[in-house]
Amino acid sequence: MSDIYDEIGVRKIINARGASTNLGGVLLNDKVMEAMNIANQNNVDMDELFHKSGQAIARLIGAESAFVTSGCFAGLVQGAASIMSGTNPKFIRQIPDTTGMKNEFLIQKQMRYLYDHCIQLAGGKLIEVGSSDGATIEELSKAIGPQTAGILHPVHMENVPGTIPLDQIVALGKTNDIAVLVDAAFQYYPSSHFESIIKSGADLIGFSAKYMGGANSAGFVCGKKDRIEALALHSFVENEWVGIPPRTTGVQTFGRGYKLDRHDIVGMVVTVKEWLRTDQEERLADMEAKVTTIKQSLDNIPNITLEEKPAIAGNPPWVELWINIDEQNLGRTARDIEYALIQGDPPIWVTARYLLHYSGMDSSKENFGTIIIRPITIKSGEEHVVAERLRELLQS
Amino acid sequence: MTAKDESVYSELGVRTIINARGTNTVLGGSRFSEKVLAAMQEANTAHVDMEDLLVKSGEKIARLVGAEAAFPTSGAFAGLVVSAAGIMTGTDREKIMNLPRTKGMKNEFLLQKNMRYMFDRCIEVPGAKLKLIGDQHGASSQTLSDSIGPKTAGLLYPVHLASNEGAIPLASALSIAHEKGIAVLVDSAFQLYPLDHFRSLITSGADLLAFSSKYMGGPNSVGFICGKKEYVEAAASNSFLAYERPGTFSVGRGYKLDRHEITALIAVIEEWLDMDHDNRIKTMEMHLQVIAERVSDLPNVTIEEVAAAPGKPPWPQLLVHIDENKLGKTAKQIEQALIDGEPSIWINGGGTATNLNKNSLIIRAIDFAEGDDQIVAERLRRELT
Repeated sequence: MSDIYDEIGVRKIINARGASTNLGGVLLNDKVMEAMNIANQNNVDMDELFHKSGQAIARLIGAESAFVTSGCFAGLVQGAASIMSGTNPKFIRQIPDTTGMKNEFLIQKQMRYLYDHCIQLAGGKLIEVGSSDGATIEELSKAIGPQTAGILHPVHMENVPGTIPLDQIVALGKTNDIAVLVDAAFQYYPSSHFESIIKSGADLIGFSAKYMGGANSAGFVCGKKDRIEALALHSFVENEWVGIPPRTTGVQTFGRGYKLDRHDIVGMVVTVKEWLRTDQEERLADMEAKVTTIKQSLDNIPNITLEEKPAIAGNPPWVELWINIDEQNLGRTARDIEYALIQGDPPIWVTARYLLHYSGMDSSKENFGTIIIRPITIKSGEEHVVAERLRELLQS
Repeated sequence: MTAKDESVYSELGVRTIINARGTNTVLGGSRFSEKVLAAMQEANTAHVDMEDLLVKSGEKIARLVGAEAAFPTSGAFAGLVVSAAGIMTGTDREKIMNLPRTKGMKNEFLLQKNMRYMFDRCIEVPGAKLKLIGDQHGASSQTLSDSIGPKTAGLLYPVHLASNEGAIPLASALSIAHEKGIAVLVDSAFQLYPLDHFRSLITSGADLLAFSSKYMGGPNSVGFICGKKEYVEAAASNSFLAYERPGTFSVGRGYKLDRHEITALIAVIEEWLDMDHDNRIKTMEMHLQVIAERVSDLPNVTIEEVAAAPGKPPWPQLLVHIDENKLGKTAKQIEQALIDGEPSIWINGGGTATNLNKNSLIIRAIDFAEGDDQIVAERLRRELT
C-alpha cells in the first residue's frame, strides 16, 4: 500500500544507527502518539500549557522546576541566553548582541564537543580551560573573571580522563555565583544516574525527548526555579502580549523560532511519564536479543571481532554492537561498508567509527575500523535483514 | 460531532478554551484535519533519512506551489532566520559556522521604517543588522536605491504591510534590489489566500519567501521557504540538517523537525490547494453573523465585518468597536473577562502590538465546534451590556 513517503518519493530505511537527529530520532512510542492525537481535539492557552507541563515534568522527575523546549539544543541556547540576560527585558530583546552582559562560558578543554556551539548562537563566548589532557578545579576557579556568566558542562564527556566531575563544578559555581549549564541530553539511564544529575544542584540541565521514545524536536530543561523563569522569558509565547495584567512580556524573543505545538508539549510530558514507567530490563533485553541475532550471523567471519557494549551511566540509554574490522586484511574500510549498506535495498543506516570522533563521543583517537549497530531503532524482524546484509558485505 | 477528549489537558490542570482569536501562536495555531493527522501517523511507521525527506519534500512543495525551489522549516519565523543567514553566508561553510558573528560578510538588511513589525527580529537572530529607511510616512524608490551600500545583504519585505502609507510596492522593491544585486527576503507568513494572490507572490521573483503552515490548518511549529534555487540551498545550508551532515555548525540547529511534521506540511499544502475556499469562508461568516446579530443592537458598540482579502490572514473577521468611556470597560478588560469565564473564550481585545483597533474586539471563527458561536455571542453580549 502506498503511503505518504511513497507519495513524496522518499525511501524507507532500516535505522540501525540509533536516535540520530538526521534520521528523525526514534519512532514515537504508541502512548505518545495517542496523546498527541488527543491533544489535537482541543484548543488551549500555550502559556498555561507551558507552565503546567513544566510543573508536571518537575514533579515526575523530582526537579525544582522544568520547562519544555524544542529539543535539548534549543533548550541549551535558551538556557545560555537566559543566564546572560537574566529577566532584564532590554537584554532579552538584545540577544545575540550581549553588550552590557556577562557573556563568557567556561568549558574544560577536553570536554569540547559537537554542541558547545549553543553558547555562540546565543551570543556568548566559550572560554576553554585546561588542556586536552584535562583541567583542574584550581585552573577552572582561576579562569572565573568579571565577564564569566557560567560554566557549560556536557556531562556525557565525564568519562574523558582528567575531567572535573559535575558535583565539583556545581560547588565552584555556587561559591562564585555563576551558573552551571548542563547538557544531559541522553543521561537518563540508569535511573540512579538520571536522578543524581537532576539533584546535582546545577542551575539548568537540558534533556532531549528522542532517546526516551519522544519527538526529535522536543526536550526540556530543568533546574532552579529562578533560572527556569528567566529561560521561559526567551520562549516564543512571550512575543505576544496576552491578558491583564499581561502574563507575557511582549518582548521580541530570540527563541521565537523554537516553536512547539500543543501535541509536542503534551507528548513531552507523556514521554517522561512512559519512560519512568518502562521496565528497563525488558527494554534492554529486547535490544540484546537483536544484538545476539546479528552476532550469530557474523560468527566465524575472519577479519572482524565483535564487542557487545552494555548500556552504562554516561552513555545513551541503549545497547550497542561494535564490529571491529581489520580494514587492511578485509580490503574495505568501515566507511565503505557503511556506504554500501546505505546504497542497498532497503537502505540500512549504521554508524562508522569516524563519526564518533566528530561528535566527541569517543576518547580514543585510533582504530577507525568499527561499525556500530544500535538496535534501539531496529524494528522487530529487521534485525534479520541487518544480520544478513552485514554478513554478505563482511564476507566478501 | 463526538465529544472532545480533554483527558491530556485535565491531567495537567490546563483549561480547554474556545478559540475565537485565530490561528494564534500563543494558542498553538490550528487544530489538524483528519487528513493531516493521518499523514502524521503514517510518518511514524517507518524510519527515513531526514535529508532525503527534507529535500524531496522541498521539491514536492515547489511543484505544488509553483516555485523554483522550496524547503520545510520549523515555522515561518525560523524560515526567515535561516533565510537571512543564507543570504549572508551563501553555502560558505566557514561563514555558516561563524554566525551570529558576521565579520567579513555583508550583514545589513534594509527595511522600510513604516514596515517595522513584530517579527523583524528574525534579522538580528542570525547576527545581521536591521537598517531602517524612509520615515513613518513611507520611503521612496530613490531612498531604497540610495541606501543600498557595500554592507547591504538584502531587503526584508513583510508583504502584509505593503498597503501601509507610502510603502514601496513589492514589484518596485524587487526591481531596485535586483538591479543593485541584493536579495529580497519576503515575510509572507499568512499570504495564502486567495490562491491567485498566494501564487502571484511565489512567482513575483522574490529571492526567498517564508510561509507558515498553521494558517492552512497545519502545525504551529512548521512552515516552508521557497524561492530561487541558490538561495533556498543557502538557507538549507543553515538548517538543522547541515549541523551533523556535512558537519557544519549552523544557526538553525535548534529549529528541528520531526518526520511527522514534514509529512503534515505536505498534506496540509495539498489540502489547502484543493480546498473549496468559498465554502470554508462561508462557514466562518455564518458563525460571525450569529455573533454580530446578538450584539449589534447594543449601545456603545459598532460592528464591522471584514472580509478575507489579499494581504490579510485567510479568514473573515468581526470587529466590535466599543466606546470604552461610555461602556466603562476597555477592550482589553473584556478580553480578560472572556478568558476568565466558563468556558474560557479567547478573542483579541485591544489589538496587538500596534495601536490599530485599540478600542476594538477582534473575533475570528476559524475553529468553532457546533454551538460555539452561540456561546461566544451570549457571553459577549453580557460583557458588552
